Amino acid sequence: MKKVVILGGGGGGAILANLLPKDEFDVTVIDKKENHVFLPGNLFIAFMGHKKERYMKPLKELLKPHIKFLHDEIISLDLNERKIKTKGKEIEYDYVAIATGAHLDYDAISGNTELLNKFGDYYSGPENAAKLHNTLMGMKEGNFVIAVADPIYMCPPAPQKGAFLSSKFFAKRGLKEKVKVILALPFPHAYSSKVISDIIEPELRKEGIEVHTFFTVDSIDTKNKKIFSVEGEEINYEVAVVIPIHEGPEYEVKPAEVKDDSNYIKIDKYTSKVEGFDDAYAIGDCTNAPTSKSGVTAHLQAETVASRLQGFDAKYSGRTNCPLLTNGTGLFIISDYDHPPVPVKLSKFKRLMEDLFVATYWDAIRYPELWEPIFKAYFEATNPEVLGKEGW
Amino acid sequence: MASKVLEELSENETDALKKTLCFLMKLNEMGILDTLNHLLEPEVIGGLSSLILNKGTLKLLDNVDTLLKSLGEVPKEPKEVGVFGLLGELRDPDVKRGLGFVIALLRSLGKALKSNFS
Amino acid sequence: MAVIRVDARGMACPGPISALTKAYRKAKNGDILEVLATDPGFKPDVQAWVKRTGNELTELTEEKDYIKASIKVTAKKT
Repeated sequence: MKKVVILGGGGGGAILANLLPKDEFDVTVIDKKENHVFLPGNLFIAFMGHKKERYMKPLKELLKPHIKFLHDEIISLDLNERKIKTKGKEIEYDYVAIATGAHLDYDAISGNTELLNKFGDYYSGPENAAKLHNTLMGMKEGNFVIAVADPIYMCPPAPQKGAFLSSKFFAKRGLKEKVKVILALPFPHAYSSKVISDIIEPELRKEGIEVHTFFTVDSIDTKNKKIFSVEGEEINYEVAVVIPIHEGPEYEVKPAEVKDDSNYIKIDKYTSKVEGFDDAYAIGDCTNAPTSKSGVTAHLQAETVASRLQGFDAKYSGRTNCPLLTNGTGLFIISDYDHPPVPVKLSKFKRLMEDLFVATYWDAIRYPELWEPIFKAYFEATNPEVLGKEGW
Repeated sequence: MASKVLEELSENETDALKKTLCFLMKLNEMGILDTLNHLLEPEVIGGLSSLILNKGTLKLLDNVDTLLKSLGEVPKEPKEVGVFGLLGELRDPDVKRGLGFVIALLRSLGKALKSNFS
Repeated sequence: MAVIRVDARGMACPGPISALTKAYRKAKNGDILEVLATDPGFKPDVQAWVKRTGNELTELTEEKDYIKASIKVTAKKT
């Protein structure tokens, strides 16, 4: 039996654990949280008023019965000694997979923690998403600003999704004329990719959403309700969400060189192997892989690592499939390491597919072997190479 | 044990349970349960998925919206069009766009047929 | 005053501008930001960026297989 320890039971960690055959692997998952959270659900909690329980499940129930779950906080990981130290234990392993996600550093931007405590947001968890919903329910007029503190953050289309959904929310409350939704982004266009930006800009205009480009949050003045940008501009707000600076894991990892200057774990982008190690992998939002920080990335990297641990030469292509939804329609941002995002038109069918992905999320985690062939067929049919310049 | 479980159930639940059992018995007698059991293999699910989920079907489903909308707007009794009428209609940009779509469809259909039969 | 080199070669959008923004956050007036990029969209993007931020573009050249931009930081608020 090979002893595999997986750090973190989010999407990537849980799928990897469930994919490893029980007769070959002795698997332990460590997480400081007892509940697994479906992160995109935060958007639906905040802007559509969904109950937060819908997007949370005890991790224990999501893992197959033979998998050990250790509810504990990781203190350090020593890759040379093959040792993990948690608050309560010391564990050794044959293989380790780091899947603890990104650390949200609200303190890096002055005023951001205060903003979070006052309004809530849709990045830090279901509780704060519910709080944001309450804040928005009480909003009567003024600017609702969604801004970004750094161009690297989870779920690249999340600011735009937040803008579309909040615009719909305010229209429903009869406040279309009184509340203005402002989207402030570090990019030259309404989306980091020009191709996607050209597709959604008319929709943003139709909704009356104001877009500020080249706006990377530098600091927030909560007294005078102003957000200042690194580029030297400012925006007034009544309510604001500032997506915080993201970093790699906080806990110590030895040797220190495996973390980059933002603490992300340096990996080989194809195999997910931690640089310099054959028995250590990292998947999902905690890595420096030059692809989107998204659930699909974590999922596909988990499949890659599961295959590699079973002796196959699997590789991750960098494929993304980030859903972007507007009012009633949706699209996917489809790219990989070799192809920038392909043009994809907004349609009701793609929105339906997105809703299907959300509805089947728990099953895709609990029974990855059933869903793997289905997703594989979808990913093959929508491979950026197959879709080509024409897109979908 | 079983009777104890039944005692705990409400009338509605017992009724639903009986019907489900009846349904399962039918499925079993017809061999559908055995067949389904044998079909539930990753290879079969994978094969079926790639048959259903391909570039063509995904594009079709993506356009269902447009197709259904345009079908709904076709008049109940479209007027007859002859050769000269057709030439006139060809000046209409909407007709041109529709014709372009049909020709592109015919072209790729022709290509697919050629590779299927040669 | 320092020359800060940002190598964004091989990064597709938003790579180069993101890398530039990251470096600009830490830069001081008088610093030179030297950005190398392969993404063809970088050229118009960096021109637009300089115009918006009020910094000085001292060099923008297309080398054989990359684009090089030098920016003198002048518009940072202290």
